[in-house]
Amino acid sequence: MKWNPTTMSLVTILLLLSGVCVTRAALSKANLSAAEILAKVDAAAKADTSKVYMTQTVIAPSGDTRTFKMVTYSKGQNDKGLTEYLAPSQVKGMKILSLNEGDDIWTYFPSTNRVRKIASSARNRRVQGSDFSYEDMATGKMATSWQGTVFGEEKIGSVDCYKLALTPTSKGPKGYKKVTAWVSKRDSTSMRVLYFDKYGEKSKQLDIEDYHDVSGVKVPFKYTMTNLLDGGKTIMKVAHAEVNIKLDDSLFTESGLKK
Amino acid sequence: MKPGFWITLFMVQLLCTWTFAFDEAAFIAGTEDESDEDAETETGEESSVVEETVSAETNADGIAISDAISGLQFHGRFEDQFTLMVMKDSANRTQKHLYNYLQLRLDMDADLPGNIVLRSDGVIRLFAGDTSVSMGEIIPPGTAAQATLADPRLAAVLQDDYSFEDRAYLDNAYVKIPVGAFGVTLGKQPLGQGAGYVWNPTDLFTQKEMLDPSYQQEGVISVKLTVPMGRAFMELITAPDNGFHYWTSGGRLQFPLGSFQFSAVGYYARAQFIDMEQSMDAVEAAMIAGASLEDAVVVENHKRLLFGGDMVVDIEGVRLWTEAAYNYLPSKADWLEVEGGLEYFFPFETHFLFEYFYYGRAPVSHGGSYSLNGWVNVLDGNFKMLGRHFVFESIEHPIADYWSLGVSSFQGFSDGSAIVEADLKWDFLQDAQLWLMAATGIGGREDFLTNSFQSWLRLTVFY
Repeated sequence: MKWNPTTMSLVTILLLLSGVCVTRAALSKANLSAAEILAKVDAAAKADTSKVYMTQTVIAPSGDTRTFKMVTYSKGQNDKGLTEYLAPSQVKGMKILSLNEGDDIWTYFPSTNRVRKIASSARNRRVQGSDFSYEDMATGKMATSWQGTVFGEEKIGSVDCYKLALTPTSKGPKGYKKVTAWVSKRDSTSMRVLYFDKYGEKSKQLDIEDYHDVSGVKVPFKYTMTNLLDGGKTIMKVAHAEVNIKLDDSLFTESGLKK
Repeated sequence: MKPGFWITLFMVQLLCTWTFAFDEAAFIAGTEDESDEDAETETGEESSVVEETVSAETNADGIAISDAISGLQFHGRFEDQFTLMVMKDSANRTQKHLYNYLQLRLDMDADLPGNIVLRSDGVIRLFAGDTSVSMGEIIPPGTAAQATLADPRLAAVLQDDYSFEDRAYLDNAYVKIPVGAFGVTLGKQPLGQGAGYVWNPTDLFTQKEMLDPSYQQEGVISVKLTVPMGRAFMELITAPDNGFHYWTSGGRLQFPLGSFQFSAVGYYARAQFIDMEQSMDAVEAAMIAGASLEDAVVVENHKRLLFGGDMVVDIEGVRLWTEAAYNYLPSKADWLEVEGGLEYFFPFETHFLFEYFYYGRAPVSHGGSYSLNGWVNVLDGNFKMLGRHFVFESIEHPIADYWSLGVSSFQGFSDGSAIVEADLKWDFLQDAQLWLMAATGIGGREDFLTNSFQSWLRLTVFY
C-alpha cells in the first residue's frame, strides 16, 4: 500500500475514532446511571428480614432532648415494616406498621388497644416529635421509590461518592419534591440525603454512617436527620441488628399489632 | 385444699422461675448520654463499613441478646387532677364543685414461653373535695316537674345525690395463648371496636368519655378468639354480664378491599332500659328501709341482635370513615345508629377532625324537655345521648416544642345545645404531661349538652 497524505489522514481518523470508541466504551462502563446506582444500594442493603434495636435522640430547636428506644422489624426488603416503642413509658407499646413500601401506615395505641390507619396527609408528620416523618420511617426500595440522574461526584469526608439528583416515583414518598443523594463509589452505601420540600426548599439532611457488616449485609448504625428549617436534630443509633432471621408474616398485620 | 390455693401456688412458682433482668431490659435501661457523644461525631469518615461481623447473639456492647423469656415488666402512670365544675340546681342557683382525684395505675406485663402473653393493670382512684352533685343539678327542672307531677314519690328520689367514689379495681387482667394459627385471649381485656373517634355504633362493650375519647377504658371480662386470615382477620367474642345471667356473643370480620378497609359485625346481646314508673314501688320500699336505691331500680333486659360494620378509606390525604349498626329487638323498638367522619393533617401540623352521629335510640324532647327515663338511662349508661343528631369538630395544633393547643365542640341539633372546649397540653418532661382544659355548655336549661362549665388541670407522670 502506497502511503499518501490522504491515506495517512484516513488511517489517523480511523485510529482516532477507534480510540474515541474505546474510551467512550470504557467511560460508559465506569459511569453508572442513577437507576444502576440505586439498584446497587438496594443490593448492598439486601436482607430479606431484619430486627434492629435503636435509640432515638430528639434534640429540639430549644435544646430540649428526648430519648426513645425502639425495635424495628422489616421483611421483603422494607416492603413490610413494624416499629415498636420500648421506652419511655409514655409511648411504650406504641407500634407503627407500614405495608406496601409505606403506602399504608397504621398506628397502635396500647392505652386504648385501638389500631388506626393514619391519613395519608399525616405521613409527613413528625413521629413523636422527631425529625423523621412516618414516611421517612416507612420507605421501601430505593430503585422503585426514586428516579433521576447522576450529576457529579463529591467527597463526604474522605469517601468518594456519586451525587444523584432524584425525584420520587409514583411509588416513592409524597412529601418531597426532590432529594440529592450521595452514594459511596466504593461499596454503594448511602452516605447523605438532602431533602427538598414540596416548595423546593432545603428542608432536611440525613447523614448515614458507621456501617457494620451484619451477616454479609451492610447496616448503618447511625443516622442523623438535621432539620434545616428549624435547627432541630434527631439521631438514631443502632444498638443491635439481626438480619435474615425468621419473622412470621403475622407480625406485619393489623391483628398482629394488638399482640 | 381449695382449688384457689393450688392456682395461687402455681402462679407464685411461675413468677419465681422468671429472671428479672433480660437483654431487652438492659437495652431499655441503657446509656443516657449518647446525645453528647453524637453532637461531636464527624460525618463521612473513611469508608465506614466495619468488616467484622456483628454476631446475632450479641450487640455492639457485647450484651447477649436472647430469645428467651422477656421477663416481668412493671410500668404505669400517676395522675393528679383538679377539677372545677359549675352547675345550676333545680332552683337555678349556681353550684360550684371543686375536687381533686389521685389515680395510680400499675401495669404488670409478662411474655412467657410459647408466645403466651400476660397483661394486667390495677387502678386506685381517690377523691377529695366536693364530690357530691345533687340530682337537681343533673336533672333539669322542667323534667323534674313533669316527673313529680306524674308520680309525687319521685320528688324524694330527685333530692338524692350523685357522688364520685373512691375506687380500687383490676382494670385489665388477661392472658393471650396461641393455639395453632389462632389466638385465644381470656380474662378482663380491652375490647374497644369500630372506626369512629367519639362514637362507635358497633361497640357493645365500651363507652368512651365524651370530652376525652382517647382516654383508657376499663377492660371487659370475656373470651376472644382471633382468627388471622392473611390481611383480614376475624374476632369471635363472648362476654358475660356481672351476674353471668346474660352473655353478649358475636364477632367481627375485618378485611381490606382495594384501598378500602371494611368490617362486618354481628352480635347477640341485651339492651337494658330503666323505667322509673315501674321502679317506684321498689324504690319507695328501699327508701323506707334505708336500702340502696340503685339496687331497687327495675332494669329491663331485652334480647337484641346487632348487625353492622364500618368502612375506612383515604382519598387525597383525607381519611374518611363511616360506622353503622342496626339493633333489632323482638320485644321493643328497633333502632339505628350511624356515624361518619373525616380527618386531615395540614402541612403545618394542624390536625382537623369532624364526626357526625345519628342515634336512633335516643328519646326526643317533648315541650322542650327530655323525660326522666331518658336522663336516668343516660346516667346509667344505657343511652349514649339524648337527642338524635350530633356533630363533633376538633382542631389541634402544636404551638411550640412539646406544647399543643386544641379547640373542639359538640353540637346537638335535636335541641340546639352545644359544648365548646379548649385545651392546652405541655409535655414538660419526657414522661410527664400537664393538661389544662375548659369546657362550657351552651343552650337552654332543659337541653342535653348545657348546664355545666368544667375545667381541669391534670398532671400525668408515666413510669
